[in-house]
Amino acid sequence: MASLGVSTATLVQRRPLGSAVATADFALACVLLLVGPLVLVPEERLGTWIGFQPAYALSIVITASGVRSLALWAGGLLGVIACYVIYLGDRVYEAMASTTAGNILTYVVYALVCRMFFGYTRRIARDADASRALAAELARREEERRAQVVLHNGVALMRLLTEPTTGALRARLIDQAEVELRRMRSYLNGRPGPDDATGGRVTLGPLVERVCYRFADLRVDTLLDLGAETELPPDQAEALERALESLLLNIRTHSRAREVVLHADRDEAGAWTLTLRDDGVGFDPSSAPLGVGLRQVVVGELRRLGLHVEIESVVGEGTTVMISSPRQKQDRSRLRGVA
Amino acid sequence: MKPTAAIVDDVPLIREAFELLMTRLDVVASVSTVEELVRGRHDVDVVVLDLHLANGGQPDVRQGVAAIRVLREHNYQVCVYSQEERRFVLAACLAAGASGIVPKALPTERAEQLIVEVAAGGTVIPQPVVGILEVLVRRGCITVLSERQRQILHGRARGLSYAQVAKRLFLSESTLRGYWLDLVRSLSDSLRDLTPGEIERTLGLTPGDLLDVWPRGAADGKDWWLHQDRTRPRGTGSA
Repeated sequence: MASLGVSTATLVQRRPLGSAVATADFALACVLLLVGPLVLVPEERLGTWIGFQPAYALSIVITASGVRSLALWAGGLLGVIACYVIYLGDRVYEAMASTTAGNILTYVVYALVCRMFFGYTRRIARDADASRALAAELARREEERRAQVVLHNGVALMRLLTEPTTGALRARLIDQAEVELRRMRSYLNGRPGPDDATGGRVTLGPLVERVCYRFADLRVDTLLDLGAETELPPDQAEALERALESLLLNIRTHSRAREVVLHADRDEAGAWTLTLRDDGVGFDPSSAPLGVGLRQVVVGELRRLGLHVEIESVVGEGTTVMISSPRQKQDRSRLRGVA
Repeated sequence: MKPTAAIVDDVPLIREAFELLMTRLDVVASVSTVEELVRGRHDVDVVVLDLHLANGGQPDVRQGVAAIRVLREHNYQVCVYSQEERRFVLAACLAAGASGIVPKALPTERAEQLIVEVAAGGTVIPQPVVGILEVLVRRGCITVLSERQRQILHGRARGLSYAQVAKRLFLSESTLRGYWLDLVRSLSDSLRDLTPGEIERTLGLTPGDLLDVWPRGAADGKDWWLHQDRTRPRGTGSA
């Protein structure tokens, strides 16, 4: 009845019943072992169906091994063994001594194995909890990153719109603001942006020209013949467009560049490289950490999609950004060595 | 000592402004036609040339590629200074022998710096023309370059400065400038030998796209530019 009661309660609660119940279990097993000699003749205490107390005690040792307290578990086990020895009485020293020793060893081994099993299960559960917490934290950071990516260009545009600008530049800024507005709105509505809905592939040349059109004031020299026909998956195209916008905004806002060159290239294997070079003031990458625009919108977002990004900048000598699709290692080395 | 220069432009106001604003140049001649400059036999380090010289007052003068060729025949270093931005027209100027092409849209200080560079024997090639040259080399239309020259062109086409390309190729900047000068001359010669059809095929253009902008030979350069001028609306002679 006790076994059924404990099992039922455990199943209903879907967890062990705790130290109090484990203590009661151990106590019951010990009491049964101690009372056994009063109701059983010596011949019936070992190796018979009538002497059930040792087997019942073993089941308690197994099930109570899940108790958290090491002292309770060890104390309970030693108590059961001691009571078992008392239960057998003089037979311990008779011909059944080896069987008795084997049974005591069984208590110990089962207790250890079950203890290890429960410990291992608990460790898995702890790891699962930690993984869930990590996943929640990563989700929070991903959302934060998405917000930064979506809102960054909009913030930069708003800042530019607050400054006195000429009519033509202001008109272009307003056009760009409309694009950013649509992007922010779709983000807030939880829908993909309008550019996502195309579903088809876009080519590098028109994409670059479209972005440069919004930055006509920079007079970007676009050299796209070698890579203009390169097809891009929609997600890469969208990320690349945002990255270019962010880079050109940086150039417009910070670089004081006289010349800006945007060059596209594609090799025989289909791997492409986009190089954006300005001759502006540059910066020292070792002392000046990348801003949100470069870190999140350019480097983070593009690398997340498997594209390579390299930013080289020297104070007074301008900045070069190379964005490329995955390619053979030796090809990248060749490019770095020359360009 | 300032480098000496001659300015050839059909608009008197631009010539006067040039003399006043380009203070790092010693402008020793200011004329409206190349014929007048050649007649004067001026000894200058560079001729700063507007591409469009024909107007109502001087309808039959040489201009464009024809003007560049005449000046080159008289051993002048030519720096085109124009508002023309069509890359194939600028490439045609390079093919005709111009050492530099400077847009009038540049700030005066920058334009002056580039013209001084040409006067010192350097070359100034607009980035779009460098791009055309790179495509022609990469697609096998121009095959005269060494591997080192290809590397230099590769870097310059991406907008890298002389110093940056020199650093990447472990060269001194002066050595690289020398290489670049030889490279541009070599490419100009090769460009001159190409037909419009070859360039169109290489660049993926529609056949005939270049017929209106590319001279078909040394003899017809003048006629080509005269034709261009007749198709332009009146009052655009100051380009």
